[in-house]
Amino acid sequence: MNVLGISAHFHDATAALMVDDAIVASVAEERISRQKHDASLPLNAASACLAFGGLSAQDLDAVVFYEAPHEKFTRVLASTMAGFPRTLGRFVSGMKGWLGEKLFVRNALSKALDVHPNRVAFSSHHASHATHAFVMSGFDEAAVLVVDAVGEWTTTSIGRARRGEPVELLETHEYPDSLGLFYAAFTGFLGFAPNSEECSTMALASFGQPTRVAEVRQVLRLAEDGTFSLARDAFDLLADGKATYTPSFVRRFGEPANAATVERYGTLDALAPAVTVISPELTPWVDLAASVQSVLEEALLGLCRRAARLVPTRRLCLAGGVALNCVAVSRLAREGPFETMFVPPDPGDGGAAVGAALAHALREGRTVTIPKSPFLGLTPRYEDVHAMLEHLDPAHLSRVNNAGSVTCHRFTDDDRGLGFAADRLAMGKIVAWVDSRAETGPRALGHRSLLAHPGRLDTVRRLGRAVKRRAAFRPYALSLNATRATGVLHEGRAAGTLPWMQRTAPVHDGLRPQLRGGVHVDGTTRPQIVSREAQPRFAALLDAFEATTGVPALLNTSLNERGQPLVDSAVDALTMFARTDLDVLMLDTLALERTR
Amino acid sequence: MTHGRRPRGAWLVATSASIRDVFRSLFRQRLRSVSPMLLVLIVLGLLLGFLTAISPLAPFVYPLF
Repeated sequence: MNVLGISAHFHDATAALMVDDAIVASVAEERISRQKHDASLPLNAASACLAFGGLSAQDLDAVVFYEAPHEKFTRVLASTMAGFPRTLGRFVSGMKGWLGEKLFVRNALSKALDVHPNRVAFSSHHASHATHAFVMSGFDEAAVLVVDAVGEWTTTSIGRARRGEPVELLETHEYPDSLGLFYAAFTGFLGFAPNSEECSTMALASFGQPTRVAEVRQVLRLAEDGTFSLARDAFDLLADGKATYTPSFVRRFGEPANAATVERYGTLDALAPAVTVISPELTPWVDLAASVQSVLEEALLGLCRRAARLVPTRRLCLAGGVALNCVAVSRLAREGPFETMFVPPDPGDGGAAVGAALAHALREGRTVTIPKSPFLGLTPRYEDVHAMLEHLDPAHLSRVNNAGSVTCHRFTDDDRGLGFAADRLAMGKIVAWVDSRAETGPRALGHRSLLAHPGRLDTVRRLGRAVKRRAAFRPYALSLNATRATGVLHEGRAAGTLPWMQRTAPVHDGLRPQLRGGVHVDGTTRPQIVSREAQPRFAALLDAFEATTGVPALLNTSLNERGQPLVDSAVDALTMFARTDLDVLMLDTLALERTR
Repeated sequence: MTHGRRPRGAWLVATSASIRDVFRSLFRQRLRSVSPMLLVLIVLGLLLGFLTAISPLAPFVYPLF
C-alpha cells in the first residue's frame, strides 16, 4: 500500500511517504521553504517524498491527514463561543482562518495533489502520534502515552498497542486540561516564544531550585490517581501570541518577564562552573522555570503510573510535543514504573505525519514497517555544489562576510577526508558536517551537524557568539560512539536505549573538564549514542577525533543559524558557510576551509 | 496500482463531505445547538466566496465585512 501522510496547520508541517507498507521518507516543509516551523500544507515536501519514492500522486492509495480538521474546528467553535462576548474578536479572526483551507483540507489536498477526494482520509491526532511511536519502537506490545498541547479535543491519551493492530486509545484527557499548554504558558511568561522555545525554559530550569512548586501546583492541580487539571482562571488559552495567561496568573506569579529580564538571562552561562551564584533579580525567574519543570515531571510520572495500571506491561512508548522535554524523559526512565521506554526522535507533529500513514495502513489490515533510524530526509545533491564551484572561485565565498580566505579540498579517499575533519576539530575549528540523508525532527544527529571540540571552551564560545548566536544559558549536546557510552555517562546502558538525544544523562565527574562544552551546569548532557551500523561514517569520525585528541565525544549541535530551520541541501550548507563564521564545511569528499 | 485524477466538480464533493463531517462532529460532541449558527457562517462564507469571484465587486467585499 502506498500512502502519503501529511501534518500541517499548527507547526512543523511534514509529509511522509509509505511505499509497499514501508515508510521510506519523511520531510518537513520548513527544510525546503526555509521558514522555521512552517505550518502551511507541505506540498514541496510531498513532491520531494514522491520523487524520492519514484511515485506520482496517482500511485497513492491514500493521502492521510494527521488529524480530523472537522473535530478540531468544533473545539475552536465551541471554546470561542463559550467566552462570548469577550471572545468575539477571536471568533471572527478564528473563523476567517478556519473557513478557508484549514477546514476544507480534503479539497485542498485533492486539488494540490490532483487526486480524487475519496482518497483523502484522516487519522486522529493522538492516534497518529501513538502509532508512530509504537511502530518505530519495534515492541511487540506496549502502553502508549501521548502528551502534547492539543489535538482535536484530546490533550493527553493512554493507549494499548500490539504489533500489527491499530493502537487502541483507552483513555483521553480533553482540552483545556493540557500539559503542553501549561508549559507553553509559562514559556511565554518567562519571555520566550510559546510552542517554540520550550527548550529555553527547560535549559533555564537547570540553573534554579524548585522553590515555587507549591505556587505552580495551584495552577496545575495533580490528583493522586495521575489525572490533572488546569486552574481555569489562570490560563487564557484562546489568546494569540505570547500571553496565554490571565491577570489572575499574574497576581500569583508577578509581572511577566520583560526585555530587561530576558537580557539578564544572557548572564547565565551553561559553561560556568557548576556552583554559580545567581543574581537576586534572576532568582525568581530561574526558580520558577525549575518549579514548572519539576511539576511537569511529577504530572508525567503520575500519568505513567496511571498508564501502568491501565496497561500491565513493562514497556512504554511516549510521544507528543511534551516528549521533546529530554530532562523529563530521563526522569521517567529513571523513576517511572516501566522497565523500557521508547521515545521517537521526532515525537512532535512531524512524526505524526508518519504516524498518520502507518495508522491508516494498520486500519486497512496491512503489516507496516519503518526504519529504526531517523534518517528519512532528503539526500544532499553534492553535485550542485561541485557545479557551483566550477564557476565560482572559493575565495569569493570569504568576501560574503569578509572573513579570511577559503580553500577547497577534494579527497579521493574518504579516510583522508575524515582525518582532515578530525584534525581540524582537534585544532579548535568549527566544522559543519553534511552527510547523506537528513535526520527528521528538531535534533541534529550527525547528518546535518555543527561539530566542535567539547574541551575547547574558546571554540564553544565562538560557536555560540558567531555562528549560532544563541543565549549562553542553553547547553550543547555530545555525540559519542556506543562503545564509549558507559565510560562517559552514568546510566550509559540505559541511555543507549534512547540514543538520539531523547533524554539526558550525567557525565562522569572525571570526564567533565574535557567534555565541558557539551555538559550543562547540572553535569548532564543530551547524548547521541552513535551506532556503527547505522552511521559508519560518523562513528569513524568520532574514532579519528578520539585517536587525535583522546577525547571520546564531539560537541554536536544543529546546523542552522538563529531563527532558521536545519540546513537541508548542500547549497543551503554552502550559503550558511558563506554567511557565518564557520571554519570548515564538509560535504562528502569535498571540504571548504576558511583561514584567517 | 494507478488511481484516477481529481474529477471535475470534485471541490463540491470534498467541500460537502467536510461540512457533513463538521455537523456530525457537533452532534457527537453534544454541541447541536451550535449548528444553526454554523449554517449561517457557511452561507455567509459561500456568499463572500461568490462575491469575491465577481471581479468588479471583489475589492469591496472584505473591507465591507
